[in-house]
Amino acid sequence: MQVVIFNIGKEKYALETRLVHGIEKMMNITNIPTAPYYISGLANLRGSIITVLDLKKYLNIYSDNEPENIIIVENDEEKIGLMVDSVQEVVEVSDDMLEKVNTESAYIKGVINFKEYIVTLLDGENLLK
Amino acid sequence: MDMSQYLDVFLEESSENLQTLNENILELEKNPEDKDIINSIFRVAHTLKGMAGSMGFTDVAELTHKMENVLDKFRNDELKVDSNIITILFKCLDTLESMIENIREESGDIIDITDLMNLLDNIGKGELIAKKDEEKKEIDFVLNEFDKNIVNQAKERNYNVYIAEVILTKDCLLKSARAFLVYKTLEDIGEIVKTIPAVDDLEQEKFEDRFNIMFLTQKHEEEIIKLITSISEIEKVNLSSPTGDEAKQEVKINNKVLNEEQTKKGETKTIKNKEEEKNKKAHQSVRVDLERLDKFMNLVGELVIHRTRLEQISNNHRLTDLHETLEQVGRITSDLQDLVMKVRMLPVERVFNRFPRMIRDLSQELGKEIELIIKGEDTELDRTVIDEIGEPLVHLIRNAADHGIENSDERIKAGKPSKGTIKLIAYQEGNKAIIKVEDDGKGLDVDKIKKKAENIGIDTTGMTEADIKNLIFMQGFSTSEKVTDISGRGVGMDVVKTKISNLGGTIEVISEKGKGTSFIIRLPLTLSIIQALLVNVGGETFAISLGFIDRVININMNEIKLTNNREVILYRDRIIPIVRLSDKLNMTTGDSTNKFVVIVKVGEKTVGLLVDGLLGQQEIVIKPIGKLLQNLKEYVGATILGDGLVTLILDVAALV
Repeated sequence: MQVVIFNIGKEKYALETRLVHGIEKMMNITNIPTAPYYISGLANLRGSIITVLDLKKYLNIYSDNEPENIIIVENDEEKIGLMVDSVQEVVEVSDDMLEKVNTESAYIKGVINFKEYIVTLLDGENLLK
Repeated sequence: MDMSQYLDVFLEESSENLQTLNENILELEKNPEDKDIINSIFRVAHTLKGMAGSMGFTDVAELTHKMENVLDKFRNDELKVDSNIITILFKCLDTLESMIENIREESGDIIDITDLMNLLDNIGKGELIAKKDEEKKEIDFVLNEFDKNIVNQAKERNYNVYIAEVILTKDCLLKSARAFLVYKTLEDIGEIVKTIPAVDDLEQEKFEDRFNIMFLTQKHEEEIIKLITSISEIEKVNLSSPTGDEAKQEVKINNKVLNEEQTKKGETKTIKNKEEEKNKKAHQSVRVDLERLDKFMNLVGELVIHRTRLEQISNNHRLTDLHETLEQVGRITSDLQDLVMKVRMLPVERVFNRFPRMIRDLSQELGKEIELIIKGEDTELDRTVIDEIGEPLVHLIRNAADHGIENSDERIKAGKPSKGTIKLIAYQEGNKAIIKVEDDGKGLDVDKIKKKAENIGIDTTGMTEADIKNLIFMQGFSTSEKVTDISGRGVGMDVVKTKISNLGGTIEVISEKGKGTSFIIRLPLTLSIIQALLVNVGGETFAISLGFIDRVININMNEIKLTNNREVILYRDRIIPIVRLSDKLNMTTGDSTNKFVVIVKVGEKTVGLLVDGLLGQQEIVIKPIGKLLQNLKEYVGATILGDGLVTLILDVAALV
C-alpha cells in the first residue's frame, strides 16, 4: 500500500495514494461566504473548479502553520482539494506496519508505525462522504 | 452484419417518423379529403416499415404494413376517413411508439399486437362503417369478425364469453355513473371486449335505459348476475353467450385480400422511392451525439476563458501587436461560441408538436370542446431546456383542459363561445425565452386558494391578490376537490415550479375570475455562457447574470429609507425594496457611504441589490460547483475570470 504522508500542526497523517489525484502548491482560493466553516473555498485547477476543504478544521486539529499544499482527491467523479500544512513524502508501507486503533471516528483507518514516529492513516472514502 | 451501429439512427428516425405521422393523421382528421396528406402519411409509414423491416423488427414492420393497407383504402376512395378509424390509427401509433421505446431500452418486452392487427384488418374490410350503423340500434348486439375471433380465442383459453344486457331503473338519475360501476365491476373479474353504445357514449349518457357489455371471464353466470345486481338502480341483467363459429372462414378470406393488396403495393413502390430521393436532397443534415456537442461546448468555454486571460495580460503589458491579434481571436471565438450555441438550439416545435394530439385526446376524454392555438413554435431554445420543459408543459396544459376550461353548458351560460381555447405561445424577449399557456376558462378562485392557504397555516393577510394566486406553486397545494385521471393526482404545481427553477427559469400566474388563466414561463436561452455584471461586496467579487438586471444606479446610503421595517429607495417615483447582499451572504461591508444598487427583475418582483462597487461587464462560462456545496442556494455556479480567479455567480432568484 502506498500512502501520502502530510503534516497538520504537530501531527502526521496519511492517505492512500489510490485516492490521490495529485498534489498542488497552495492556490488562490475564493471564499464562499455562506459555506460551512471547514470549506475554505473554490480554486481553479487547470480550468476546472474544485472545492477546497480545510482539513485541519474538518478534523478539528489545532495548527497555526501557514498551509502550503493542497492534496487533490477524486471522489464520486468529482475532484476535491484537501488543504494541509505540508506534504512530506510518498512511501510504500507493508500491512504489518498498520495497527488498528479503537476510535469512534469513522475518518480514521488506523495508525502506521514508522518506529521513529507514528502516522494516522485516514479513511479517504469515509472522509468525503 | 452488426446492426448496432444503425440502431441509434433507426431509433431517432423512427421517433421522428412517428411524430410526423401523429401530426399528419391529426391533420387528416380535419381535412379528410386531402389526398396530399394521405400521400405524405403513406410515404412516412412506408419509410418506417422499410427501416423496421431491414433492422429485423418484424412486429413494427407488420403493424405499419397493416396501417398502410388502411391508408391505401383511403387513397383509392374505398374507405371514408372517420374518427373511429383515426382513433384506431392513433392507437397503432401509440403502440408503435411503445414498441420503439422497448427496443431503445432493450427491455425485450413484447407487446401483443394481434388485437390491433385484427382491428386494422376489419377496417380494411369496411367493417367499421357497418358497425357504426349497428351501434345506433343499441340493443342488437351484432358481432363482427374481430369479435367472433375473440370469442373463439377465449373459448380455446377456457374463458366464458358473455354479453350482459343491463337495464337501469326508470328513475335512475346518474345513468353514466351506474354504467361506469357496472363496467368497473366487470373489468375487475374479467376483460371487456366491447360495449354498445361505445364507452365514450356511456360516459356522456348517450343511451336510453339499457346498454350491452361483452366480456370474457372465468366466473360463472350466477356470480356475475349477483355482482351486477348488487349495484343500486339496476333493474335487470340478461346474460347470453355468443358463438363465434363463422369466424374462421372469414379470416381465410381476409388473408386472400391481403395478398392481393401486397402485390398491388409493389407497383407503387418505385414511384415512392423517387419522391424520397428528392426529399433527401432538400435538407442535408448530420446527426451528432449530444455528448460530443457538450464536449465541444465545454471546449469553446475553455477557449473563452483563456482568451479573456490573454486579453488581460496584453492589457497589463500594453502589448499592441498582441492586442491586434487577440482582437481577431476574440472575434473568431465569439463566432464560434454563437455557432456552437446555435447548434445546440432547437425550435420549441419539438415539444409543442405533441400537444395537438394530446388536446384531441383530452377533449374526447373530458367531453369538452377545446381548441389549441400554437404560436411561435419556431422559437429556439437550448437542447437541455427542450428536453426538460415538456413535462411541466404537459402538466400545465392538462390542468388548463381539466380545471380551466368549463364544459360547454357552463360556457354558454357565462356568455362565452362553447368551444374553449388553450393558447400555447412562445417568443423571445431579450436573452429570455417566454412560453405562455393561456386558457379562457373559469380562472383561479382566490377565495378558495385563500381558504386552502389558511388550512395549511399560511397567513394571507396583507397579501395582494396576485401574491395569493401565486401560492398555488407551493408544495402540497392543490385546490382540486375531485381527483381525476387528468390532473389533481397530488403532483402539483410545485413540481412544475421546481423543474422550471432547475432550468434557471421562473413561472408566474395571472388569472381573472371567469375570464381565464395564463401561466408565464421565462427561460434562459442558453445555459452555460452568459453576460454578467461583476460586483464587489465586502471585498469579494461576485457575478450577476445580466438577464435579471434592469439597471444599475449610484446611491448615497442616506437615500435608503425605512418603511414598514423594510429598507427601500425611491427611484423615479417608484418604491424599490433593498436587499443588502452583504447581509444575505453574512459578510461585513465597506463603510463607504457611496454605494450601488443593482435593480433586478425576477418575475413581477423588482428589487434593488445593494453592492459596494461595480467591476464591469463580462462574458462568463457557468461551471457547476461541486456536490459538497449543493445545499448553498445563493449561487447558481462559479466561473473562472481572466485573471484565473474563481468567482461565484449569484442566484438572483433565490436572493430576492
